[in-house]
Order: sequence, then C-alpha cells, then structure tokens
Amino acid sequence: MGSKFVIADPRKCVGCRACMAACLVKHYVPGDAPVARLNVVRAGERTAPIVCHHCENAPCAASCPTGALYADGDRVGVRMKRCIGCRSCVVACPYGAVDVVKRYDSTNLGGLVIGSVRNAAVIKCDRCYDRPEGPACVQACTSLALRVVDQDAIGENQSRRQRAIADEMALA
Amino acid sequence: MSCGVPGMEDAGCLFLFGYNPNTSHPLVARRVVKAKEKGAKIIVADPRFIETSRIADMYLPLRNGSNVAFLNAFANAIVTEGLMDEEFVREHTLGFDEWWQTIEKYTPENTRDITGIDPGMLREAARMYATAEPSSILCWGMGVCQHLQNVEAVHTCAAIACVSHQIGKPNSGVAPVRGQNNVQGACDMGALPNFFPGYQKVTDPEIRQKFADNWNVPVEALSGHVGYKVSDIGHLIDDGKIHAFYNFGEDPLQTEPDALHLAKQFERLDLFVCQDIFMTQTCAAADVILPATSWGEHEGVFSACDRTFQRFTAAVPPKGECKHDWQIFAEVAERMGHDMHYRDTQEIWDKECRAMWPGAYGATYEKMEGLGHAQWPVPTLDHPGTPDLFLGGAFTTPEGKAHLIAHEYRDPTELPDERYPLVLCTVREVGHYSCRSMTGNCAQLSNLAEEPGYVHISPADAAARGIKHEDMVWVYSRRGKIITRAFVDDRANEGAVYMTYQWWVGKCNDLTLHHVDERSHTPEDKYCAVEVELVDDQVWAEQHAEELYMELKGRLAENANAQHEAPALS
Repeated sequence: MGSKFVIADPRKCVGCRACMAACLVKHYVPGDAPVARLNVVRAGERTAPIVCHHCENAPCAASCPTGALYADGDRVGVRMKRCIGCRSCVVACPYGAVDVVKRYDSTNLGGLVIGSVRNAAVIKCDRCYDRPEGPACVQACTSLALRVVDQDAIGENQSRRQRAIADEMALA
Repeated sequence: MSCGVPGMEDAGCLFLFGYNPNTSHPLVARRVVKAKEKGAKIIVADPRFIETSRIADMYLPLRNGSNVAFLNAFANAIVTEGLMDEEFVREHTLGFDEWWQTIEKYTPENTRDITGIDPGMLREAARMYATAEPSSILCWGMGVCQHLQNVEAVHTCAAIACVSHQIGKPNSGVAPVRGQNNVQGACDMGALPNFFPGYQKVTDPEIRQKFADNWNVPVEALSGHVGYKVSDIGHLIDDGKIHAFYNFGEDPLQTEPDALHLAKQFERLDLFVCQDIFMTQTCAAADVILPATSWGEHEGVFSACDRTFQRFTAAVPPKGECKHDWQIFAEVAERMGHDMHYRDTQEIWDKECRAMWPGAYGATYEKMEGLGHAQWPVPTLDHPGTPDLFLGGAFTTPEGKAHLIAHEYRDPTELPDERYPLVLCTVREVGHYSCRSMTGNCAQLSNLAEEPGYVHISPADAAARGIKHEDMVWVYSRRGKIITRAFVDDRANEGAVYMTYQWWVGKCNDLTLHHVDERSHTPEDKYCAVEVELVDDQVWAEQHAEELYMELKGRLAENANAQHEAPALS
C-alpha cells in the first residue's frame, strides 16, 4: 500500500488554474495530448482541483481491456499507445478524474509533416513520474493548496485524528 | 490604494465590493486567504457568488447596478447604529451635515427594493466593517468603476472609510485595485489627459513652465487644456474634431463598448497609427503599424495598484524590426522636429520621473535592483517608502481634511425590458488577459480556453430558454448579435448574464452600450440589456463559430504577412 497522489486543500485554493496550465505545459510535447490532467471545479460553494487518487484497487485500470492503464502499486500509469478510446475508465472512475480525448499523431520525414493520424488518448494524472521536481501542478500552485501525499502523510493524519477523538472522549 | 497590498493580510476586516480578486488578481486573492487564516473577517458584496464568497463571513448579493443605493444605506447604518467615530469626523473631515442630508434618506429598509439586501444583514455588515480591529480595508474593482454612477460610488466608499475611521491608520482605508497591469504606472507617468507625470496639473501655468524648461521647448508649446479621453474618440471623429489617432498598446476594437460602431468611426480617420506587438483587429484597421516590444523584451518600471514601483529587466532581445516603445516615441518626436534622445530607460526614469516628481525622487534604479521596490511617496534617497497614506488623518486636500460627498441614487442607463430582459455584465476570467492579444497567442493558455468563449447564465434563466450547459446560443442587444457557448453557472444570479471581453467570436463588446459618466468618461461596461436564445441547429452553430474564427484569423494573418513584402518604392 504505497501509492502517492496529489491532493488539494479547498480552503486554500483560489481557483486560479495555474495548476491546470502547468499540467498542460508538461504534456505539451509530441506524442502526448495537450490537456490538463486535473480540473479546477468551481461551482456553488465548492472550488477545488479534482485529480486522480492513484487508487490501490484502481477501477479504471481494472476496466481497461488493453492495459493502457495499469496499477503497479506505486501509481496508476498510462501506456498512451494502447488506448482504444472505449471510455470504460471514464465510466469507472469514481472521481471523474479520467477522460478520453482525440490526439493527433503526425508522421515526420525530416522536419516535414507528411501525415497525421487521429488517435484516442486517455487523459489521466501520471503524477509527473518523469519529472525530477515532482508534479508540475504542485510546483505551480499560487496558494500552496496542492501537495503530494504518501502513506506516511496519510498515516500521520490518521493518528492525529485518532488522538483528537481520544481526547474528546476523555473529556466527555 | 491608501494602503499596501501586503498589508491586507494584517487588517481585521476586508470588505470586497465589486471586486473579484480570484479572477483579476490571483496573487491578491492569496492575501485574502491568508488574512482569513489570520482571523480577519471577510465581507463580500457582489451580484455573483464570486470565489471569495466561499470564505466570506458575510456575503451580500446586491442587485446589479444598485451600488450607490447600497453604499448610501451602508453609510446610513454606520451612523444610525452609532458606529461613527465622531471625533475623527470632527477633526479630520469636512461637509458632514450636507453629506448626512442625502445619506439620511437611504435606510437599509427603504433601499431593500433596489438592492435586494436584507436590512438586518446590511446593518450587521456595517457593524462588522466599522468595528473591526485593528483596521478594515474597503476594496473595490471594476464592479464600481464601470458603472454609470462610478465616481459617485467612489465618493461614498471614501466617505464610509472616513466616518467609521477605517482610514488614516496602518493597513486601513480604501483599496481600489486596477483593471490592468500598470494602469497605476500609466497614470503615475502622466498618460492622462489632465496630468503631467506625478499628477501635476496641465492647467497650472507654473507646472507647464517647469516641464517646458525640462523639455527645452517654449511654454506655449504645452497646451493648458485638458485633453480628450480614449472613450470619447469615436464621437469626436464623428464631430470632425479628431482626424488622426495614434494608438499604442490597446486593441479598442476588442475592448471598447459598441465595437461595431467604433470600427465604422475609425474608417473615417485620415490617419490611423497603431503601435503593438501583435496583429490585432485594431492594427488590421490601421494605416501605419509600428512594431513594438513585449514585456519580456524590454525593461522599465511598473507601478502596482498600491503605488509600489517595481523595476523589471528584459529576458530576451527584440526581434526583427521591433523597437522599444520609448525608442519609437523618440524617433517619431525627432521626425516631428523635437530633439529627443535617451540612452536607456534609467535615463528616462531619472530625468522625466525622479527629477520632475518630488514624490518619486527616492525611487532610484539602485533601490529597485533585483527584487527591490519603492512605494511612493518616497521623497528622499533614504526614505523607506509609504505603505499607508493619510496616517493620523492627515489628508492631502488644501484644508488637510477629507471632503465627505454624497450622491442620490440613479438607475443604470439601459434597464432590461420585455425584448431584452437580461442584464449583461462584463467580467474577467482567469487564464486570459484583457483583449487576449498576448495570452491568445500562447498555445498553452489557448488550450485551456478557446473560442467562441462563454456566456455565464443562471440555471433558472437557462432552463426557461431550454438551454443546457455548453449549448451554442445567440446573445443579442440593441447594438449587435453574437454566437457563443452557454455556461450554466449556479454562481450567476437570476436575471443577469456574464461575459468576458476577450473573445473574438463571442464578442461581448458588440453588445455593450457606449455610455460614459460625466466625470471620468468610463464606459458603463457592467450594465446593459440583452437576450439569450438557444441556436436551433447546434451542429450548424459549431461550424459557424469555427468558420467565423478561421475567417478572422485568416484576415489577421494576411495583414501580418505584409511585413514580409518589400516596401513599394516611391
């Protein structure tokens, strides 16, 4: 049980979408789809970026017939080329944190584009596994509302809450 | 601003009136969050449930266009609830009796039909604001300035701060934020029709002599008349008073109200010069284009809305034929017969600003090196700068006292009716800036939000028109009709729709009313009457919007291509 994920503190989020811009920039490379992997939801009294939790028992990966999504214990990863665009993962994700979009792959001859093929692309947080500084969204957040949590952080939080409840019970 | 932006974190209460920091200034929004974390009370008055409403202690959803009625009632509550600082009013203000004659008539109860605000709530908000320790700051933005009664509302905001003594002490007072980056700087440097740099009046003969001497021109060369304002250009062309227009760093055909009409007026100009960094719609209408440099290519000083000068340096050198604005101006001046030479921006800053404006003398380039800054007034070299103005109630009027001014409430110019039943209010959206000439040319930001843009509409108004989220819709007013996408938004109030003015296809300024107030000549961008209608054929609508966008992009690209052609020899 060790997967890490990005989490937002809605009390700190100012809704500026710098996280989305940073995410999009990270994926603005050939062969990838320039779409933000997290979405700042602003509706009614709620404002918070919604992002993949890299679930241990990931329903998106379980529903993927081609292995385009896979859970390896550390995170839920993406093999973009395997995606067939069936959207089973979109239906399965309880967070609404997975999407499928169109992606254009171009064939180049030297510096010249000689053809372009439309493909499906599964859009989901890859936790910037290939970025030494960690997730781009966390680094870009203007209000320090985003952070990466791991099992240690979750455990700490858990024991703090347990202590608080125990204190309350002692006082009661 | 009478206080500093960082000081907002240390106030006891922030009252946001017609100001949505999260979309216009996210870094100020962060300060609001920090103030809240430190225990400050937050009051928000806005027709829409804006982002800050979420963390506000009180949210007052006043009706669109009811500002002056609301503020008068708020001022009334401060007095009638015994929250006024009588000693401060006696010692440091003038005109209370006359002011009260007007304010007395506007109670929270009898203004309820105009503002839609529960009187008890309004009184509670007034108490929260007036009694907060150690101080309160009253912040406002375009939600005040772009209404018919803008100057009136500003007078009343200032009076509210004075009568409750929430001004004249640290981290208190009035915080009118600016609609654009460096508007404060443009005003500071005299890019106004009535001032030389440092708010020195063009009507003052001594001031004119001082500038004439500095510029080595006869004093008669400097006009003592207050000039025209940009919002008046259209009708002055109609009146035959303006024949040539030199426009720089603006895209008025995107940002000015009733843009369709303005485009026709520009056609009548004898000479139209545009100085810009991109081929905008306005540039495409120009006779001459002078290519300038962007913020990343030049250096200089910005003024923040809290009077802080900040120096910035170039990241990359200019490309091609582009020149810095100051170089272009100097070359134009020279060709018009005036000798104007500068080595660099520091020389301009020292000679034109520091030497001519006593309040900026201490703001040296050295002081602003790196992350350094200087907040005016900063009169001497060792002066630390002035975060808070009017400390101890020392106001800068001739009498040294604040003038209390009150105004009667008036309805906005174009009220909704049967044909146009909705109020259109123009707003900002985070992610794109102003006319979008800069951020629209950034592929990453365009990927986050693209044409034809959105009209935000309440769920009830959308349902009544059979409109679903993301449907293509027509929006029309007495001036024009545009196609855009509906954003069914439960933060929008019933009876009003909200559009940002950056979209080319879903262009709200084809709909807005060109009506300016008498004092500041600011257009009434926050209020006009429109109707929204579902487009029957959604597939056609998507194609049509795409075609309009491609057509406009193609036209601008064609205009921009002219730069690659050799100039005709004559």
